[in-house]
Amino acid sequence: MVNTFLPLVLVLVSLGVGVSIFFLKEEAFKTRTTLNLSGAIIKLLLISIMLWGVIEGRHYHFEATLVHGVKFVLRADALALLFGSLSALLWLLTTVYAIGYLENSPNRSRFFGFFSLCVMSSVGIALSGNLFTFFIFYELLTLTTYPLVIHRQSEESIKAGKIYLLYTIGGGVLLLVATVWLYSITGAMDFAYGGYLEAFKQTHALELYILFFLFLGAFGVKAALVGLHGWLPRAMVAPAPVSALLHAVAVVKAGAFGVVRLVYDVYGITLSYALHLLTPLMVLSCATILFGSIIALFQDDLKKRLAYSTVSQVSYILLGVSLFGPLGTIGGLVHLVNQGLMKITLFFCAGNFAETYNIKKVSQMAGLGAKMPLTSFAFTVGALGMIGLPPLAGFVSKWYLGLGAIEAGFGWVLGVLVASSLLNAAYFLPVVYTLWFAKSTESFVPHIAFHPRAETRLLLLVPPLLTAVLVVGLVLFASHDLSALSWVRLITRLEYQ
Amino acid sequence: MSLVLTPLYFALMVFLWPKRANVVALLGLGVQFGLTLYTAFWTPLPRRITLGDWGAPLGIELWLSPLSLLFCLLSSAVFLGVGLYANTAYKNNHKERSRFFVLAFFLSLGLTLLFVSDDVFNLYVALEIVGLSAIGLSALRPTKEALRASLTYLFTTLVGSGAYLLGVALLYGEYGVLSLDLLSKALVSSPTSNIAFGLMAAGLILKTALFPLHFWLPKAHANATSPVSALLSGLVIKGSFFLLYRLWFDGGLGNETLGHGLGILGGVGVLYASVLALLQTKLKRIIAYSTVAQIGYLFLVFGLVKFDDSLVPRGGILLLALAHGLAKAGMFLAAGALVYVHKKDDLATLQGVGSYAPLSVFSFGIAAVSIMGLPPSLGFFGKWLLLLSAFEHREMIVAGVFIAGGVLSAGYMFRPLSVFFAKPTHTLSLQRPPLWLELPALGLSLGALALGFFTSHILDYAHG
Repeated sequence: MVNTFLPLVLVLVSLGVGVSIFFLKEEAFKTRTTLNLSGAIIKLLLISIMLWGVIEGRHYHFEATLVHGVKFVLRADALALLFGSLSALLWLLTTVYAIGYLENSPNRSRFFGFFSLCVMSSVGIALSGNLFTFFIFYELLTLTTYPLVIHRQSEESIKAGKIYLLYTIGGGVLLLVATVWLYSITGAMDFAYGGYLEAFKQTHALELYILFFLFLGAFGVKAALVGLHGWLPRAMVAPAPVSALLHAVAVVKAGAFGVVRLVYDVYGITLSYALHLLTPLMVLSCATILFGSIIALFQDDLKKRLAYSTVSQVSYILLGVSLFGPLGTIGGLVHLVNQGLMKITLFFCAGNFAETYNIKKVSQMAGLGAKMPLTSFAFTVGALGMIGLPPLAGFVSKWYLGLGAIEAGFGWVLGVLVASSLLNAAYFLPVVYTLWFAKSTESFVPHIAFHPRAETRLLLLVPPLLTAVLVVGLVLFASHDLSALSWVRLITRLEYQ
Repeated sequence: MSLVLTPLYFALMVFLWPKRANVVALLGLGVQFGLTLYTAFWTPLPRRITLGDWGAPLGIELWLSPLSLLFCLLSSAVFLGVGLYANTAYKNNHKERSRFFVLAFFLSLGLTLLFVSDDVFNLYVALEIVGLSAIGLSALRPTKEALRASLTYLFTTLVGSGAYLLGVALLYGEYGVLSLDLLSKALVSSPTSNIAFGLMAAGLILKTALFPLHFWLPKAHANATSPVSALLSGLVIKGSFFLLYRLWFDGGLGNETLGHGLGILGGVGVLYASVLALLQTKLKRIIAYSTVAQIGYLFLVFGLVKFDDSLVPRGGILLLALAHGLAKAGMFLAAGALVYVHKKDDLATLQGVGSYAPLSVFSFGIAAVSIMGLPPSLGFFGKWLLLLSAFEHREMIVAGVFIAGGVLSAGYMFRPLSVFFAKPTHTLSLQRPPLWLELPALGLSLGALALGFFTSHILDYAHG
């Protein structure tokens, strides 16, 4: 049975919410909040229905011909739903957080309007059924995140916005060139398990080789591959919910997801392997993993440290993709989810420190653990997860990546994983230590009003706690049918059949 | 026929009744838009109308094709938007307002005639009406710069139509027919017909402001008042381009060598004008140079059709022309609303306008999306088709021009946008522009964006 309706509705819900929010007055707090939350909840419900439907064997597929055989295709395959459900879930939490974070600040209608459009683009990327549709949403994501990055309108944020555009538009152009070029070879074709380029292997080998690197450059900008990562630390001037969203689900993930689609559903893992495309990808991702971790060591600004940590962590996904064999694939894909949950927890917490006591530097955090125990607890869980401590989410990723490396015959990758974990520990543990054990040198004066018995606003506190619980829960319930791990196993089976 | 006569009737009405210009003019523009819609969708197309039952070669014939109706729709939609804007902008100056509307109706008449005429002499008449009313409009507010610019504009346009007329005379002497249809059947390649077409093409290129004959455009478009700039940039240059397009494809006058040359000029024009747009410090100048760059894209098609005679590149050009018409008119109106508050269009003084005219900045942004050729706008699909055609025929230089032009356009469009978004430098309390100055820009820009979803319908209709 094919349902054409749901994927389209999923995209349109956020569009509708975004557009209506633009027309709201600044003071219309209640209407805006209702719209925001109901949009996010409806989205989550729809995704759940589709998850259940896909398990039951239903197909969700919407298509419309736009121009000369070029089709706009939205469909919910297993991979789409992996990314889609992650973004729908984290979006609900980020919306709650953003409502608390932006209380009483100016231009909220503009913020939430673009915020919703950004969700739309992200879900669109998840559901895109071919490169053309993917490109459309990839560009829309750039356009809708720009106003969020420069939301504060300070000189610094305008400058950051400029650099952000410089990188992302460059990436977008590469993607356009690569997509058009590939279309001129293959004609209109949809993503398919195992790829669809096998037939062109003989006739267009060289072009396919060049194209792969064009695509990689296009996605690498958003995924912050080393050398293309320059925008990411600068974009940290954006408000905390935006950073959380850029790092966990939207921009960075869109790039990583693009590489996943490219290798598995365009080229196909077998063809990528046969054309020797995987090794360069592996080298690049290992370099990025080490580079990001090393630079993160030297950042005193907490958000900057987290940003470089993202540079490093996202490349775990790419590393998993580049390891030929099911175990590596599982490691990479499951990290797509795990990294999202852990990183969003860390960013929520960093936002809470900054918002409540205006503390932005690691060196100022001494004794903060006593003042904000719950936030600090969530931060600790996220940080330990990143290091890869069992039984936290990051451990699962690293375990499978390690197995995958051995399976693919690249023992040295294990060395990279170990080195990176040590580096992760080296830049996260001091933060955790300072939080809990260092002697407080200054007195903390809250910058915002909240209930005297709470440690900060409730809306700021609940989201990181929930995501922290998930970081643990994902591992404890890993064997459940609907867990991220089982879902990733299903996808891997499909890709290698 | 009423399509052509409506503007004439209303021009007369405004002229006779200047005090009530607002009601009469808006009614007229509304009627024109409605009539065009009706003709486009509810009457059989294509069809030939012979005036007074005198057919060609003796009488005048009008040729209503889906393509011409699409352009009529574009024109009447832009006129409606611009009319609404002008009605508010000239509220306190009845004389200026009625003058604007009389000239605008004549321009509308000329353009409609240009889009539906089918013989080369009639087309010349239409071209002259368009040219003269456009010059009148550009001198509407007689500042020193505007007058100087419109004088240059006057000479250019006269030289352009003179060259065209000379070509028409040569063709008539050779073949004794004027109708495009008959001409394309009678045509044989000869020195005379080549020279004739060369002259016609040269005149039209001058009027369309293809690089390096674009010298008059930035001045004329940037110094006119904003609604006039919107008409000049969005529509007037499309008129002469449309004529060239028709001579080329329907009149069978095109040839490869010329096509190649035009393609090269178009490509160089895209790059040259985009770089200049990056260097401008005044908002309306940026937009005007962007027009010159976009014209370059339109001419690239003549280079491409040599390799690809399918409808793909032609469809791409059609989409780009429509997209540019809507988006550029919207953009000039949005800029007009911003300038309306500030009285100046230096980028430096416009810093932070986003804070008190968010709607206009938003419209400007949406129009920019289409100009930059980003999805899902109409401009994107035009570019996509042309890129696809270039890649399919491995015309990597053409593709390269498109890519470079796209990157440059992102540069010159985001520069003003980031200025708008910055914090205001002065503490002066400025008021929002009136809503009716802001809405038309939003409507036109949104049109350019939303029509992207109907690309295949538009192409099916045009090539139907």
